[in-house]
Amino acid sequence: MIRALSFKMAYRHVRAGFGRMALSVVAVALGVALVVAFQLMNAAVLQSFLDSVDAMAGRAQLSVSAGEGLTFSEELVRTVAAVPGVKLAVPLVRSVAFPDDGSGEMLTVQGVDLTNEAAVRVYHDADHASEVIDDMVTFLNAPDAIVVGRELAERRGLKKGSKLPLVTPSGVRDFTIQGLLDAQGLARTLRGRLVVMDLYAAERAFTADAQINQIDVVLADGHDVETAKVEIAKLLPPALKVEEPALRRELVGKTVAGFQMLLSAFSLLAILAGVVICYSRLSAVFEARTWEAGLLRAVGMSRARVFFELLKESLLLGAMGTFIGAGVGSLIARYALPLVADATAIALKLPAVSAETTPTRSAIVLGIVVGLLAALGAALAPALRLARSEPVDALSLRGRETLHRASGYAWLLRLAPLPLTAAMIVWQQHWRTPVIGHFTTLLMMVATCTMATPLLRTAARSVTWLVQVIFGAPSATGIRRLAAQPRRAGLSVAALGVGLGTVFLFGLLGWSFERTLAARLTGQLRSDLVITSALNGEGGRAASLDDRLLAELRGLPGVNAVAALQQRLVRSSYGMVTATAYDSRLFRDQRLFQWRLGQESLPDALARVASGDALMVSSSFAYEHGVGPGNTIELTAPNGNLALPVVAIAVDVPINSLVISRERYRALWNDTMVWEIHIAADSQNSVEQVENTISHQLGARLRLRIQSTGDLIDYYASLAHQAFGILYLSEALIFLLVLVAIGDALASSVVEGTRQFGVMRAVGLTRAGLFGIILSEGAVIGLLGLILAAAAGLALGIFWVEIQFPAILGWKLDLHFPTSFALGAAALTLLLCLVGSLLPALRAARLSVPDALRDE
Amino acid sequence: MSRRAIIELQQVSKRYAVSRDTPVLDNLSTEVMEGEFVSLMGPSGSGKTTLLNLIAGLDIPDSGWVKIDGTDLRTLRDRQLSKLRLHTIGFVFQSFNLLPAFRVEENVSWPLDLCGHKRAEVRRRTAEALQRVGIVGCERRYPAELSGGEQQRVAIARAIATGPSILLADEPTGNLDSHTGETILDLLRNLNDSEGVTIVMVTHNVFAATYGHRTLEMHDGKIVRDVRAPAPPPVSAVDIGSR
Repeated sequence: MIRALSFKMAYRHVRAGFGRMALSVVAVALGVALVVAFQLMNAAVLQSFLDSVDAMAGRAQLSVSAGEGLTFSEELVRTVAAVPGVKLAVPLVRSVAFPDDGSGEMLTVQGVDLTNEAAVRVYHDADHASEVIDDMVTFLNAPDAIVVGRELAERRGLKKGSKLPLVTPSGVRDFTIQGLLDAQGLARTLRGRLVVMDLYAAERAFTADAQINQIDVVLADGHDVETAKVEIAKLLPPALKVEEPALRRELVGKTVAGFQMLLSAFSLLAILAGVVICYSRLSAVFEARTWEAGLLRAVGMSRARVFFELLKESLLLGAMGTFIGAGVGSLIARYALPLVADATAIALKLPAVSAETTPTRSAIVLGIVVGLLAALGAALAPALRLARSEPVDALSLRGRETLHRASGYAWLLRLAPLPLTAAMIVWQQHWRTPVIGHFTTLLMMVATCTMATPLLRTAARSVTWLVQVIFGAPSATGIRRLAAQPRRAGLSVAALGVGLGTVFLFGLLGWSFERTLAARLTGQLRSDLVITSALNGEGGRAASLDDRLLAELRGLPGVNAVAALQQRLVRSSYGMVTATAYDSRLFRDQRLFQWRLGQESLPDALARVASGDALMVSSSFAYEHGVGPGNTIELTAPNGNLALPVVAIAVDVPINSLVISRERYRALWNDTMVWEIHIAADSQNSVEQVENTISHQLGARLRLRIQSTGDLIDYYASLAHQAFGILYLSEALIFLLVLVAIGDALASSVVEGTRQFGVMRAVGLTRAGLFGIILSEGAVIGLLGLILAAAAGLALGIFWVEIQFPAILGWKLDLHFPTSFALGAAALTLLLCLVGSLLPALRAARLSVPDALRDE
Repeated sequence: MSRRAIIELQQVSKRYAVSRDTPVLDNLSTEVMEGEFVSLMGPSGSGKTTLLNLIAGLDIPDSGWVKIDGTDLRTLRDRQLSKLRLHTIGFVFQSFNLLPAFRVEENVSWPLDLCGHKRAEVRRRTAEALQRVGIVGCERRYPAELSGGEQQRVAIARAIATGPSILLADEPTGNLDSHTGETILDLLRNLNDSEGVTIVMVTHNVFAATYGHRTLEMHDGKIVRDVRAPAPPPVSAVDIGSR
């Protein structure tokens, strides 16, 4: 029993043949690294978002608001405070501001009644505001007085008394620092990027007199939260909501989880590519030891024992790969974390957070389990095959590929994944369950692997004679050699197919995401200039501007038409949804916007939406909620509820959103802010002149970004590219591993075929001919791998773009094929396959024939 | 009719790096006439295989020269040496050295492919070579599916498919039982008798050596005996097929 559990023999074999098995370790390590890295980063990013929610809420159990940034009268505070069980109702102004130095660093502004110490203690640990502020009376009398996080002040070399010019929605204003907050609570979570002001000063700077955007509620000890919530809700106007910060936490958790599921799926694809490469390598290594297995069987070792000894070797390799992978994964997580945090913030339009990774037990345990299972899974079939070989055959074959003829049953097994995959795709199209989609992806990968050997055989049958005619007999011999070792060569092709297929999938998905956004905006935007804030707010999106700016713009010479849009989360019968509100002019004036509507849209759809009597939905919204013309959507607004009929599907609106008139939106939601302003100039010639005028007269004061439509589209495409940044990193790592695997497979083939090459040279093959054989083997593996990868990448890409991506994130994408990327990757692969076969080819050509003939 | 020397070796010496002090071939000179069947005997390490490698142009002597059909191998480049092996010299090994992943017919046909023959010609010559060695009906099999004797016959078919005038055989019966070994020796003898192929065969077996017209005995890199013996009666192709 103890002997059966001993790793002594396995260790000796691994030590002796480590050079040949090293790639398996690298393949497992890469997969584990990506799994651990994504796990650590996902956990860290999620925790940061949750910390941010917690810190924002402080000790409040309930929070009343009208939605993202919308304001309401502070009169309501008294109403809420009067509800039985409410101990404290804290009025707040929350906004964002930016230092006027072009850094774009977003600061969270919190306006709170500093004279109310109980209110201050809800968010900050200091017992008295006076601990932070030296002279409270002066502070309260100065509308420019602020307190900032100590970390921010230290980074910028600021101290008490320093001036800090901030860009606010109404322009640049100077503020004076009169206190510094230590790194606790919200100040810690935001890394000091916090500006605290007195409530009344904040109203003047960021909303309007007596207008707030949040009331936080602290309940008396032991009072039931749910009861208080119901009581407060009864007293609130329709658009205001009362919610538990804990639920907001849950919502953020759910939102982030969808995006993280996408990232985790990508890391699992990487481990799958690793398993195929590992399987390919172990198959070759174990096959080369067939003679040794025969010997062990001949001296009395049982089949089971041989099998388990081989599995132990793979476990050792898996353990090494896991150990390296966990370390590399932690490093990747450390350096790529800001990338993932930004990508998540951009993708989900959440405020950017600073996250830190700390190696967690669950991530490491998952990495270990995945790594060991991957190594074991990869070794299972080769070990079983070797253990089942008859001792006599094993001794006589001496490592040559075992001859076997495919039975009808084997063909059935090979073909089985195809109909199963098709069935799963149909299922997933109907049910849209992310887990089923992942399983379907796995099946598609398996189907790709099983197609490698038939592809190799077909290609060999079809083109060998042609290759012989064009490139000569040695090249044809190379193809025959590959076809004659179908399993080994097929595995190399499969590794390339799966690995590169994954790379193509990532490329296609990222490109489709970017291009869908760009194509839809290109189809829609017709204006000459687009104006946004030069400063980025939440999720990398431009900060909002006051719509009084529109009037100023209309008065400028050369400006013919001006219209704006705003985008906010609103409450609807489908839960919280994004509403994009367009000035009615944008529905009518084709110099500004061009609308492409779905086929079933009503004929007067645009006019009805412009008048505020109806709404449209984007194609993603229609896809996710199954909504279209004929349905009605109920909206809850601060100034009344309304039910609007859906009259069209707006094809070119790139996000999951409702489309409504801004005039109606502004009246119902009290929102005077706009996000994008579109301008049509008098003539094409005056565009530059108009741009200069806006830039000189308003740009500097309001920190405006003035762009052409093309520049704006490029900007959004770059944001999308940034959101997929981590995907491109994974793509590069897998690409590298696959190419190393092919180089390794060719090098092993030369080492194992030394004697054969000696025979060929003895019979009359020239050095150049032998060189050509190896080179043609590399080229054929590369070419067939590319064909398989293109088919797999395309099938996977279509599946992900059309079905799986919308199932996970609810975003409907158009399929855009990344031609340049695909051609570039294909050319690079072929080139590297040829370069990778150069060294083995040179080694083969330089073989001493007598030595090669003596090789065992 | 006087025959010309097809293989000539003059004062050939060869040393290997692992045994610089002891030459593997020591100032060896000899010649083999066209159509001659020479058996090369001697204990292990006496230099028999090295001599065969030098004749085939697989290795180069440290001193002296080797001429094949009047051509000094020192003057040939690698490409020309390969061409010489492909067209003029056939090689048969003790362990057959068939390409395990190739079928029988492919093992025989690929040297013909290297010669640049058309497909039909390759097929014809392959079938002819296999027929000459008595392998019929096994063309689609892999080497591992054949007996040792059959594998050696395929190896001989490969060696003669391109029509070489010299056949070098390195212990061709060393891995075979005595009965199968005799069949192979008969086959070689038949090739020598009926087609005039010059054969140089390395062997440890005294009985096998009697198949040659001449026996060279080597010791410590030198030819210590050169015995010309009357050859046994020729064996017909029909006899080979019946064994």
